[in-house]
Amino acid sequence: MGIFKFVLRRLAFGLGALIAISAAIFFVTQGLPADPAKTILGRDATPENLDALRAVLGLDRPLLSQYFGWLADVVRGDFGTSFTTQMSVSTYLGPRFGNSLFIMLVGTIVSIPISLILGGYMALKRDSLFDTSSSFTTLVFAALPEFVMGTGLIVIFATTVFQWFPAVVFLEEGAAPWTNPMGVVLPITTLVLGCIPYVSRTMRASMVEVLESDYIEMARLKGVSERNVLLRHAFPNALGPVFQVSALNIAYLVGGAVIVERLFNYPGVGSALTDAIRVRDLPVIQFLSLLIGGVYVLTNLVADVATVLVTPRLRTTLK
Amino acid sequence: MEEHDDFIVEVSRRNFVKGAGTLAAGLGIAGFSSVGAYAAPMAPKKGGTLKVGIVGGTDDIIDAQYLFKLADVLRLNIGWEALMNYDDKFKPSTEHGLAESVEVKSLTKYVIKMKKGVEFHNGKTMNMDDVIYSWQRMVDPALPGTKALAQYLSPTGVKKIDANTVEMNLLQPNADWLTTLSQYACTIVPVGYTRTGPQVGTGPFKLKSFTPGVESTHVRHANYWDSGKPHLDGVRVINFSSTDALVNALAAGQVDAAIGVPASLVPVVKKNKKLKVLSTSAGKIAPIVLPIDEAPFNDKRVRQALRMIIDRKKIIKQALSGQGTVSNDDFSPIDPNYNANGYVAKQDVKGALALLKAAGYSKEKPLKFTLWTGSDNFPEVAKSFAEQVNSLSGGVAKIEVGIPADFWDTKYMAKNVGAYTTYWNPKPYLVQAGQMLDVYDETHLAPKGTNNPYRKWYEQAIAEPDAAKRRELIKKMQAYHNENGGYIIPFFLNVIDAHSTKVQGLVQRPASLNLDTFGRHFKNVWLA
Repeated sequence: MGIFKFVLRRLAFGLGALIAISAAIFFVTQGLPADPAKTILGRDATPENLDALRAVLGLDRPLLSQYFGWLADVVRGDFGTSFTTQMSVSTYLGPRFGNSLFIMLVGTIVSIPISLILGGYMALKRDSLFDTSSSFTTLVFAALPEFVMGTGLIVIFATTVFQWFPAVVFLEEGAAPWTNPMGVVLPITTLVLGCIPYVSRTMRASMVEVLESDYIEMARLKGVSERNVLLRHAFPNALGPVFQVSALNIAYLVGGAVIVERLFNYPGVGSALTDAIRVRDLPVIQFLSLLIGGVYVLTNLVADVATVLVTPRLRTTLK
Repeated sequence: MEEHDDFIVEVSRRNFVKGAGTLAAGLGIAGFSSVGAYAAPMAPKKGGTLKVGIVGGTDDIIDAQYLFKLADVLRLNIGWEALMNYDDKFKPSTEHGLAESVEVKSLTKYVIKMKKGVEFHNGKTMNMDDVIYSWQRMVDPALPGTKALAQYLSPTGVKKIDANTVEMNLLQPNADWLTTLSQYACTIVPVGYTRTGPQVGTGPFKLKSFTPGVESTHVRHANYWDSGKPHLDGVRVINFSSTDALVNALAAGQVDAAIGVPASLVPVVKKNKKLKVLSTSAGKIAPIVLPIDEAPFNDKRVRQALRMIIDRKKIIKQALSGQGTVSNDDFSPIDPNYNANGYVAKQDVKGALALLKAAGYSKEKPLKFTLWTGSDNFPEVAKSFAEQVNSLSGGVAKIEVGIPADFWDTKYMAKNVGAYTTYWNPKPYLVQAGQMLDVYDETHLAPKGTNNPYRKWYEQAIAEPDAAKRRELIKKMQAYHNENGGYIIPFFLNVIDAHSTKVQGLVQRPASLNLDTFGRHFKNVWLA
């Protein structure tokens, strides 16, 4: 089986997973406690107003009919209308998705190279003071919730010790996040600090394993320079597991950055999701859940393909 | 007000003045002792935009007369004004309102003379058609929340007398109607106003932009009727998704004022010398509701035992970080007829256990029920209450706390679900009683159509023009409620806000609305 067939097969799996995810999302969100119509109208809602609103929102139809109607709309690219803002979901979430994508990309671009270098160096200096102290530090950061790290950064750099950066992000309507570079420093730093421990520790473990392997020993015995041993033989082979962890981290950044966005009042999809859940804005919840699920599927697919491409053993089995 | 002041004083004001004194002396409510504690010593400075932070979301609305959440209350108060307002002593007053005077002809007939030269944000001069339309919209059955008003006013109840005067004819007498005229949501809008149309009011700031869940900007109304005001060029309301982010933004100087600071964060704010906390109580309550006709609460001994067993100070400390004042299960401390010394709710664990035993409960057969609450409805209070009852009763009572996401939908005012929590902003006694009797029958104390003495006295009191007679009736109501009612009101909650020291014009005093009644539509606020 060639790499092309492998990708196609994984794509088919991904699509199947997405359909399963869509059904799970739809039925779970529709089953959320609390009536969206009552949530929108408040405690003074009259029965007549409630019935009228339920009809407008399509909540009076059978659940299966609602699901297939929703799925057909999604396939057509119509994600519905937000119950609360009365805007189309894509119009409402478009700028927010861009905002989240920005901190996610910057977070990834910053955290992955740092993690790879850090993890690789820790493996090279295995059991040294640097390795031990770095392992300890990354373990501490891995154990700290983002909320605590973010709050710590705010206390140190925004409110109490120094006042170098803003504590929260204000973005004018329609303004891009890079127009407020000082504002995004602390949220991105929190995300970076949240990602580095996992990736660097995986890189370290993977690199240690590779450096102990027979082919590295063979390369050294053959007199290959240490630089070439590391860069041509060890590093690429150590990347496989790192891709997997990085993929999970990227997916986390899309959906799991909820806490960070909430803490910094950052107008991204994470904060939109918490707001939508609070007000039972089902179209927004469903779209965002599907988006996060889609990103998980896609990043894992990319990671699998990348792992195959950089690992000679796996490449060979596909032929 | 002009020549009719005296009559109004007779039916309403005297009571309020006296009541406020009683309140201050009897309760020692936080803030009364420190009125004017940091009143602005300098002359107001013109200009600047005040940045106000508040928790809000995409379900925020702007409507001159309707609201769902605190963010909606804030925006309403920036752009719109009622006929009257509470003054600093909770007396209905025309000082900040659009009425020049209100003459009480009888408890069903009110003649309202409007201030002259009031201009809407769109440049139109306010006339009597606008006043009539505004009240018609408020009693429009197609809009939610009209039940209480519609009992008293029909859509044809307001009539134009001359170019500057209207007459309001009520369907039934209401001795507290001036209080209704003072409600912040009973505002005046131009003819044809709708929620989806142009947002035009008479307030000191006009709406420039509004993005729900993000922010709204409001700019100075150049032709505002109160000359020389407002001092600010504008107000920017910024939404936050959490109170943590809100307080962080205040500490970092990104907002000038934070509305609705959680009690737990007050110590954090107090440590910052650039910030000031406004924490006062005017009598907001968060009662535990025991429906009195449902088991096990249909046994009066159970209700009394639950009242007696708790340590109210401890609940305030645990659930409110100390930001509250002990209450004795009675409500409306802003009412002149509030009886602070009437029914002292002292903790009596032994007495409570004896009552539970007499009601047939023991360790083997404990009193069991669920106390339902919402995540936005002071769940800490429910938890603290249940914890205390369970531990102090030594297993004779076992209360579970339920915090379902659909609390307001499935538990609030539902039949036979157990006990639940609720909340009420401060109101005069009869207004609060009327809401409880006819709109939100939470405890089932005196349902409609029954010959219950509480309802009978309420109906007599609300129609009674003589203040002394009315007071006697209210006393009877209070005694009956204390004996038979289903509310446990352990405390009066503080309303807590914070602001930067550069924000001037706000005074620490009890207020029914946040931030010193929002600085009277923010017209008193300025930036140093």
